[in-house]
Amino acid sequence: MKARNLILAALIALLAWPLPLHAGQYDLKEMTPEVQAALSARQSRYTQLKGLKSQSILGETHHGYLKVLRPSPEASALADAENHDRGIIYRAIILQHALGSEGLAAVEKSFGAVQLEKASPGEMVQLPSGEWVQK
Amino acid sequence: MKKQFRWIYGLAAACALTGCTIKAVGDPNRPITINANVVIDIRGLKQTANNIEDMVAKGGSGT
Repeated sequence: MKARNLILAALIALLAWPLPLHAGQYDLKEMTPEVQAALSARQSRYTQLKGLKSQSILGETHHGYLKVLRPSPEASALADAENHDRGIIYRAIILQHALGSEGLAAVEKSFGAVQLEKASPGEMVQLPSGEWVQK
Repeated sequence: MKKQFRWIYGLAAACALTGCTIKAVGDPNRPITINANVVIDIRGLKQTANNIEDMVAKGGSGT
């Protein structure tokens, strides 16, 4: 009886163990200094970019990069820097998970889809068809 | 007698064949390239993208 109760308790504990629901299959395995720097830079310019996106000066493309929609030197510099850092992160995912030559397209497509989902109302986003719309 | 010789000849041929070895010599330092099709889970990639973008937004908005 005691053994049975112990087994039952162990099974219940196992089932109740919190699962890593938010862990991504392709999460970065190693935070290299380059990746860490790219993430930090992205965090530091996040608010600025959000502001430019809300004014439709910048828009999110369907392959995960920023595009300047209205000419602005400040926006161009920020977009270039942001796209560079995003590229570093995308390539790190591809390398760390050995996604091969087709990995870049898949990663870019996935990030593009997520950016589309996370865009705030009023921001310009590019659909997979290539068409630009205001969310 | 002839039958015996046939048997002997056959055995000798079999021995000769099994005794031959074909050796392929290649450059041991030559890199081996393996082309494999990688199956990518798009849903998994989107989850990772979500995690990263949430991390960026959280760090960027100061929350």
